[in-house]
Amino acid sequence: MQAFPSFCSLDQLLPGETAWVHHVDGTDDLSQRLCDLGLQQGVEVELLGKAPWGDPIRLRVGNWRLGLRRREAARILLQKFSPR
Amino acid sequence: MTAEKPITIALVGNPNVGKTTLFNALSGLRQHTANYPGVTVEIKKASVNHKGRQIDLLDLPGAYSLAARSPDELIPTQILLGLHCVECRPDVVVAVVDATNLERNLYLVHQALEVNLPLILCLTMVDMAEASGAHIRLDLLSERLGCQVVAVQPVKGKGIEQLLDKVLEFQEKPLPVPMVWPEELITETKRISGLCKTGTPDFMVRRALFDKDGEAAKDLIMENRAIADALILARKNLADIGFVLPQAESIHRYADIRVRISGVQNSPKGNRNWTDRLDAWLTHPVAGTLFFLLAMFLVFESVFWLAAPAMEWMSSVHEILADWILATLPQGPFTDLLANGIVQGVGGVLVFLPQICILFTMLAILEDTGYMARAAFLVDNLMSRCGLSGKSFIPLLSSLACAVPGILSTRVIEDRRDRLATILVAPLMSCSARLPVYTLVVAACFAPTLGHSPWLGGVVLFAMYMLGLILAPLAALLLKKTLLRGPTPLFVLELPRYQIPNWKSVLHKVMDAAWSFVGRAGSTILAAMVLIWAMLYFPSTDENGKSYPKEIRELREAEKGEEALVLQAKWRENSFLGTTGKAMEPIFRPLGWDWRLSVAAIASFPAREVVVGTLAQLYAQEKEEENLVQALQGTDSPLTPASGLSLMVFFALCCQCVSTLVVIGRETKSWLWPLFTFTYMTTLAYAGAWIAFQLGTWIWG
Repeated sequence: MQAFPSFCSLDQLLPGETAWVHHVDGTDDLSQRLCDLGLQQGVEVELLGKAPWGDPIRLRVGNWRLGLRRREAARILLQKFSPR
Repeated sequence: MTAEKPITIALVGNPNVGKTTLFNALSGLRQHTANYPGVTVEIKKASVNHKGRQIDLLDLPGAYSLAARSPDELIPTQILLGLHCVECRPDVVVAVVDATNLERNLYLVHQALEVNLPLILCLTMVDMAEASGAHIRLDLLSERLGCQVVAVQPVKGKGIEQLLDKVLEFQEKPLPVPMVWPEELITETKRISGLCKTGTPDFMVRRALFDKDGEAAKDLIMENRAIADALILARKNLADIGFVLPQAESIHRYADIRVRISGVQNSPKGNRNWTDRLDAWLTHPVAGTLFFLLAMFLVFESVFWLAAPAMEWMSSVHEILADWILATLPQGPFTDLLANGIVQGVGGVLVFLPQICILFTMLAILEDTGYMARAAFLVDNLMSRCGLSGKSFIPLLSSLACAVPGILSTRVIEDRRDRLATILVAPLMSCSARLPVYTLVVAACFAPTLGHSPWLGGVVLFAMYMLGLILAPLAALLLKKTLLRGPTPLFVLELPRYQIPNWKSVLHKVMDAAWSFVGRAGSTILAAMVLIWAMLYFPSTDENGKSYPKEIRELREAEKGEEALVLQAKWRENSFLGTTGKAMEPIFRPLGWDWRLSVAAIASFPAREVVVGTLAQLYAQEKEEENLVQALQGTDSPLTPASGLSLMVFFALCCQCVSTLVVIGRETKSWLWPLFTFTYMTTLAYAGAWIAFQLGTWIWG
């Protein structure tokens, strides 16, 4: 079975899915904050769960856990591998 | 023998790494908050003695980066860079790093290594890292970074001696291994350095470049206006070669960090830990919400079940003391002042300590376990509909005990408008001081003995609490839509590992909160009590020049107790406060209040805590053995449910607390916002009380 690289934004990730940060859109406060926290190209992220009503979402970033709103998560573009 | 200068060390690090636990372990109970030059807020400090040298410790708020985002994060930046005061920089920086999260934690350290201060890296949670298989080679880490590395376990006291030893050796520090920045950055830095006053360090210029509108930039621009344009030009030049600020700093630093820690730590086994397993339940939409509601319910119940009896007990203690003073000491205004002014005042402050301590203990435990972040996570959605973020939840919750520490804790909120909105609505949260009014009025107007249903009292009490809790987010929403319009604040919250709360840390947090109440609010309440006493005591002679207290004493000795009470009531009515109250009665008549309630309400404006004591002094007792509740029910114009309701609503919504207004002024650095708070809340209180009176009259007549 082959795995193909594909792209999605962080808010499109499914619970339990793992992907890797490709880049963070924008140059504002949010992107700076995320960058400072280490959300950079190549870092592994996993969607662990969601709050009631689906927002915010709970992520694993490397070895720590982050809560983020979906609107902001949409700014983080990820690369993942999907089976054909 | 001349005393050597003490060594000042600053503890820096990410939030949730155990920095404060380390500080507590180093300092014991000897800590205090004090001003520090160059910083506008107070810092936690302590002094310890190690092998004959004095070491002054500073516990700085947690930060992820020197590119500060929130008022709290600004403090490490200001102190490490030496903004406003270069000589005041600490002698040594102790960077506390979580061993299970090395990469992200080293970001701040990486920045701190460049500010030309000796740095010791202090690793916490090493046992946890080891347990998950992520063994760290301390010697290799030390070599790669170029600084001393110590592993500590503050709770067990391990490594503390070693850390202090290394602090003493700070003058023989190894030099940090410098990072190689791109050539163009070095050129631009030199160019801007030329415009700065001599001696400006390179790291300061770099920080000015990195942090657009940051503190370092502001400082340099103040010296030379030309630097502002120079910085903009420099950033543009750097962007042209692909070094786009501000991200470029993080990207380069993290790349450098990864190179340095390569091989230093083994990978942990697996990606799940028991925090994740607990979170699967505690942040679950159904189970998580239920647990949250249960937790909040327990927090509230603790107020009524534990605090209320304690408050009643303390109340009776100070009443007994007051009575004893009146009976034992020689008669006169001074004795009266002591009994009814000072003892009432001090008692009026201390009576709230049980509630504040209990509430803050619960909050501190929730915070230390790591649950608070989950609570903020769960309520964020609701709060964002009010224009706030989940981060406002904890300050608002703390305000249920006392708005003063609640407002102080808004320092972690990054967004300026979000923080301001939270500060402005925090006084609406039903604080401890309102509870005595509620319980008094409920007992006097809604008691079963008066013919009401047994559950009515509880319902009314609950409704009063809910009034504040519901209006606060609504007020925030209104503010965010009008005065404080702006983008919805960001929500980026670390969910720390769950851990067993450390009792020392909980104790310190509770003591901090209690102290900020007693220290700040306490003095105001005492002063207000004394002032109210004076305004109720004077004038102490009637229209014929005879002294009231003397006459009352004579009547009592002649066994004419009833007449004495009537005279006492007349005395109160003709005092300064009484006359003022009667003059203002027309203003408060639409709310269903008579002159006594008006007086009590006005007297409570500096500090609502004085209301019960004032009412006690105003209501004439018809019988010798009556208490205040009976007095309220039994006068010629007993307190009706409608009037009682309107009184409670007024107190629920009015900002009768000078201490809160002062803290708002200090935190917002302006007198406009306290004025605004006072105005909007008084207006809201009047309107609410009027509505309550109409409603009450309609229901109970």
